[in-house]
Amino acid sequence: MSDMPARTLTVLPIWILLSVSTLVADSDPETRSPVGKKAKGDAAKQELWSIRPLEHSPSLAIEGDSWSRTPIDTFILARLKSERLEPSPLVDRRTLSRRLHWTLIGMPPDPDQVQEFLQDPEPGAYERLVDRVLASPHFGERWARHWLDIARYAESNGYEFDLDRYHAHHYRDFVIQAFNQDLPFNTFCSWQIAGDEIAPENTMATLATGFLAAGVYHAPVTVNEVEVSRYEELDDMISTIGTAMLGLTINCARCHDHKYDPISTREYYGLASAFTTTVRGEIVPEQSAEYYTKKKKFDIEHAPVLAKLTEYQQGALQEKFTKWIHETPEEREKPGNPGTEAFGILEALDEHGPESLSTEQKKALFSWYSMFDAHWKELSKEVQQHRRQREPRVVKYFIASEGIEPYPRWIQGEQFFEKTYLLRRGDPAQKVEEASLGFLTALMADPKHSGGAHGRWIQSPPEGASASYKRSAVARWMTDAREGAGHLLARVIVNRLWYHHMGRGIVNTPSDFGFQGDRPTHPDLLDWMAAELISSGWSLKHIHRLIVTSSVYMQASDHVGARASVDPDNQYFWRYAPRRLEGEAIRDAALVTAGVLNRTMYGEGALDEDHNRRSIYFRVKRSRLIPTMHLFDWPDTLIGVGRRSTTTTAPQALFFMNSPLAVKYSREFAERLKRSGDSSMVRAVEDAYRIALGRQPTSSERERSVRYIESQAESFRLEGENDPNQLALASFCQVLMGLNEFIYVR
Amino acid sequence: MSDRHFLDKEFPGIARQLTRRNWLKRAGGGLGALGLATLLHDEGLLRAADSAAPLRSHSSVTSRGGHVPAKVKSVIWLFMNGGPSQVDTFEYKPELNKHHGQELPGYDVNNGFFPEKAGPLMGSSFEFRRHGQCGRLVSEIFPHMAKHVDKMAFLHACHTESNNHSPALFMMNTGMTRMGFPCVGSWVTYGLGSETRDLPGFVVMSDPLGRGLPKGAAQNWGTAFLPKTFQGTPLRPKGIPILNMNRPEFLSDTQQRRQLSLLEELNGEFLARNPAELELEARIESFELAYRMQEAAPEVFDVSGEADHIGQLYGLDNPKSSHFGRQCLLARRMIERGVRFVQVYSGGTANENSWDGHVDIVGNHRGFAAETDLPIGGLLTDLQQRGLLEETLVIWGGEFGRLPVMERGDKPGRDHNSHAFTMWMAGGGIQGGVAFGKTDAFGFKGVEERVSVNDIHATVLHLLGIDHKRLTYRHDSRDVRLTDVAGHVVDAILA
Repeated sequence: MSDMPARTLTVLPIWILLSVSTLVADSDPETRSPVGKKAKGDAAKQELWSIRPLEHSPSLAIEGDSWSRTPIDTFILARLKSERLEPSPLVDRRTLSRRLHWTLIGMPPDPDQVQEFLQDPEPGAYERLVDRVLASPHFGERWARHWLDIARYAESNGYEFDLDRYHAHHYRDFVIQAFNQDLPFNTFCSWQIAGDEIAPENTMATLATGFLAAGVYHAPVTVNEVEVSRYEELDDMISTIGTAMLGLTINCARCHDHKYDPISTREYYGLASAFTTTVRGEIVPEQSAEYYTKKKKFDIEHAPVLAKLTEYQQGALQEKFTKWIHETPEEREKPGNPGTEAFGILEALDEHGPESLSTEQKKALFSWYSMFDAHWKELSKEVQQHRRQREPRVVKYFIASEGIEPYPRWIQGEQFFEKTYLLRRGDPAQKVEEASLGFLTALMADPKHSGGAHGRWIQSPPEGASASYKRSAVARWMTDAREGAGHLLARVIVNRLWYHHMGRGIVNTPSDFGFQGDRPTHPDLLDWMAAELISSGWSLKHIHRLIVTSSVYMQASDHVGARASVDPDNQYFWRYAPRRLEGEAIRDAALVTAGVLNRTMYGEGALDEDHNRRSIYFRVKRSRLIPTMHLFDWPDTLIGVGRRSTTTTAPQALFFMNSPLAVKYSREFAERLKRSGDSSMVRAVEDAYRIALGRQPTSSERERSVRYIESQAESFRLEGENDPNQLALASFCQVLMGLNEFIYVR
Repeated sequence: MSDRHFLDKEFPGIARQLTRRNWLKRAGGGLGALGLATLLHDEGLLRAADSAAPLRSHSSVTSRGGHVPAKVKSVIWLFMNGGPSQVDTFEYKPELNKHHGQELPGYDVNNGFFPEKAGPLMGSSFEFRRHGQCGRLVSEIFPHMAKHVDKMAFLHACHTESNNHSPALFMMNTGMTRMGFPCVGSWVTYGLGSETRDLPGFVVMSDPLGRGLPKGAAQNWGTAFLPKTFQGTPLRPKGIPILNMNRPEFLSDTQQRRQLSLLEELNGEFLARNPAELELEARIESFELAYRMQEAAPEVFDVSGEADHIGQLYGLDNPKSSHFGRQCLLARRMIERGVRFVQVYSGGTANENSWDGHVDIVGNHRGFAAETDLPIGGLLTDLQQRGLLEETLVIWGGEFGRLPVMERGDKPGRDHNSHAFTMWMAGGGIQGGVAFGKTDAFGFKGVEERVSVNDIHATVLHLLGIDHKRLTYRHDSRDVRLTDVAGHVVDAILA
């Protein structure tokens, strides 16, 4: 080991070397990224790049550099030069403005705003536009959706019943607000791990724990599944933290030491133990004054409805029931199947008579008996209906915490256990010993003094606290950029921002910074941005601004054969790579274009596709994913997804051709064009291009479009349609929204 | 190309500067390019491209060969949702009948889902008779399937990892009890692509009588982390069977063609300005494919052209079985047209609406047998007479079996049994008339030749020409397999 660099020695436990040598034996070099691929012989001597401290590389001064606008550009240019590549020229203002709106807020710009920007001759016009767009409340909606992918966000339990979590959307709203307010990213992460402990007085902080709670919740759980399913819950929490925040697949260490990355099984269970008593559940905050007024009004209205039911229940029905239980077993007709409610009681009644039943048993039998009574059912339905329609909803929060009532589920055992054990092969039947709170040694500046973790990260809970304060220790370690995991946390998030702006990550596996992931193409730039994030006080908007005001972002997207032959994947960013928009952005763009977008933010989402709010306000029910979103590669919400797949399929085309929604949007778009006054088709076509694509049609596009509308209108006229022109215009609008140009950012 | 689309005929002048051959050359690098291969219909070319990188993480649905010679081209999986009882169907247990009413010594009530209802051993109420050359004993509730026992290979000692519906359904479909893994149909289309461009490669049919989806719903035919291209397409029980498959009502065919032509022209102009963007052309092509699907699909779903005697074969004239019969007939029509993987679920969500005979096992199983037995018998007959059986694999089974002990109640039932259940396979590459696997005297647990769900999957893949150890997808730093780290092909049932 004498030939290893000194720093490596301090951070590398011996078993890492073992796992690295396994890597050499096992991994298939063909399937690994070509970027920064290591020669086999070197592997054993290397540590994992991403866990190293940040390199503070100053931005470079390049001779004769008139291209760079920000320090980011100097790193990009230097690498381009070393690959004998040239950057592309600046894109035109119109396209740039559209691109900026796509990546920052996920919606196309308003044509008038584009005009304003185009006509602003003053220096700094673009920077001012950037500031305006960054300040839009839609910014948070766009970037929250990216984070929700990573957080495997959904609003139902999954598994057999897939019960709804009606109060889970507060977490989604927290993320939107956090991004809009530029909540420092270290706080954003800390709160998601332990907001209830760190800032118990702050509702936002508590809501942030919805991150831990967002995973699936196994139910029903039979006796022999109880313990396994609890370990699965713990695994869901820490593996999501691992991929989302650290880009490490911690879960691989559940059954055996991580085959590739420096994570031992002991460390896995040490981290898991921080969540031992953490459960998901709902809390009821103090309700608003408005709620109490409404509730009072409702109670008065509800009383007579309820009285009808109670009256019948205590009178006629009770009499009927008493008569029924006193009949002989032979004459007594069973109104229905005993189910679990009357199970055993009916038998006792038949065998030993009504006197043998306890008061509880009679009560249970009565409520079972009532369920089959037609009049009772009717009255009870009225009560339910009235409540459903009129009763003001109590605000509740779906969170993760300790000492709260666990979210109910069908389980034949405990919801959680007081201790977490280190398991052999991940099997609860093979407990080795109780796990004690710990962190990943590889992400501790001084791994030897794990005792030093006490005090710095581990603190005892305040008096009277219901939580163990172990999660806040994880949060402190996670965000500690000097001694803990903070530097990796910063690297991972700046790469995610870069990935979504540029369409390709510096590390192109945004949730995997381990040995199996890609290597960074620009490690110095990644470290520079990470350091910049930390020194800015973890301001994400600062990084966004840096990226979108850089020349690398402002390049044209044109394909240049000579450069493409050197770098076909654009990994050195010699151009801005065009790509298809996500399903949400496509739908949102259609709503904006049709002029019907409802900009209401926050609150309950909808499961019905036919509403006009932004797509982030769809309710995410695991068993009923929104069909159109699903069609455009929505993640399945079971594990975090850092990079969505982008498929191009015939069913997507069928959506644009035939779906009632596509037809509806195009009709609304056509209505909008009609409202703008001028009846000339040429003018309508020009307006349509300006609104949908942010540009004027070329002369041949104009001609073709007008000719199309005219002949289509003629055929509608022959069929006797009422408003053939409008129908033809709508069918043209549908074409525009199906164009490649409409759904590609470039 | 023989099947060029009408757009090419009507608008031959539209610029198509980038030929497929050209972009295939480029498609070697980059994930984006691989995504495009999805839409390619020059199959010979793609096969050539694929042979350089066989079955690696990709998203193409173009038909391609596997690792080993294939015995069958397609699969029809008849999923008896809820878990049929082996001892009441295909596994005759005389000892169980003899010991009816006696406690099973040492029995752990937690084997079932309702421990508090566990009772003594309960014999089968059904009569078993010998059938076929092989002399298989089959329950009286399956008179039609019984005629085909010489085509079937029985697996009597199947076992699974959960005694709970949704995890067991996920296990049978994805090889994992947890949510979040791709199902076998997705793996197969990922591995082999589809033989048809006019229909989805993987189709799922669930209960058309409004009784709901199997527990766990669409997760049972989800792709999880595989590209969405391999997602199972659920046929909608009512109305238009495939989402968005019908032209909007106000458009005639000519009008829609005119609309698609304009779309292609305008997209063509944009492509001409960005000639090197491969994805743009792929998307243009997706509209052509969509139009072809739209034209082809109605013919498949319209069974009115089938002869009367074929309808009778599937029980379409029988009110009990007509719904499942129609699904079996559709399954045949689809595999005939090149659909790779068809799954048909018998039964819906709630226990009593599926094979989940907790209450009144006799009535429950008689009911579902009456719905399915005739159609399945008909399907096997029809496949054989058309020569399709030798290139098709038909699979019958549930997510687990049922216990030999009684589940107490007014009308006794049987609770879940994850230790043993029976499945059968028939078709190409299968040795008919054999039985593999033995359970104890009561059909409670497998004692010999046990078969895990991974083994079942390995066998299905093998028959399709895929080595289950080599069909992988890179996910979460791992090369993930359908069979995880297990699975053996059950050679004993292979022809």
